[in-house]
Amino acid sequence: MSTWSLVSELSAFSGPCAKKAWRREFPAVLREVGPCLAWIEAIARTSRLSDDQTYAILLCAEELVTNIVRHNPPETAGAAPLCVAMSLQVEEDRVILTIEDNGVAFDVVQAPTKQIEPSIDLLEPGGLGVGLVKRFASNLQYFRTQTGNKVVASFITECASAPDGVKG
Amino acid sequence: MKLEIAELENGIVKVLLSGRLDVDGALEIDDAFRTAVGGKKNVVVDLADVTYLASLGIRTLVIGAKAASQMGGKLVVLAPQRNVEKVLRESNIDTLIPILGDDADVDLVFGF
Repeated sequence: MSTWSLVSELSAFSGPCAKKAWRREFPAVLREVGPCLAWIEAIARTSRLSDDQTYAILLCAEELVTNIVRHNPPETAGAAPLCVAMSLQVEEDRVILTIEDNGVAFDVVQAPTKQIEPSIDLLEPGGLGVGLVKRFASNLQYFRTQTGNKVVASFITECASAPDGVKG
Repeated sequence: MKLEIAELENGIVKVLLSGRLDVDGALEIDDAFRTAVGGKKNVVVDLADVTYLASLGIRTLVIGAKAASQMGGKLVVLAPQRNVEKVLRESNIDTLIPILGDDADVDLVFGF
């Protein structure tokens, strides 16, 4: 069962740039990806994120969670269930997506990006998710924790208008 | 995720997709898509109404493109939305699956 909470609401600024953080925990199974994306979309709407920024966050979240699910062996007797903790932090100039899991070590930053073969006949389907995460996140960090993996992806916010008093 | 099929002139098959081609969407249409493109030489996948595409969706397209190539033809995609097109280009899959802007290019790309 998924649980989520608004971890903190820090209104350093008025309007859409207020600093807020949300957190969600869920079992690492493919059927949880859809609800996870819906959760992100709801936050994006509330925070008035741009379509482009929302898309980038959704894409990276889907690819990272799907990777966790697909690259961990089935649960063995006595092993802890595979879980994901996802947090989304909306700051003045960026959104930070943090994904933690208790699966096998996987450094997405060091993982190679799949190269496209010169011919469709030579290309094996799949494997493009890591490359997309690296292209769509403004910044990507990986940490191996005591319990598993932690990926921090940030997405720069492109401001629609100049600050007050500054002429364009 | 919805899938419709249309038969164009010159034997070109047009597959119209609509909705989100995320994990759920890709799994939802996987069998139907394989059936639609199976045994077909020239396939155009209309992405105008696809609002989201991720790597599993690209995988579905690649499988279709490989099937078309085995028939001596090709699969192309048509009119993707801005961010969907960005995903196709950033993954470099557009080097193997051409992106067309509109219907006027369809006959041309297949040599008709």
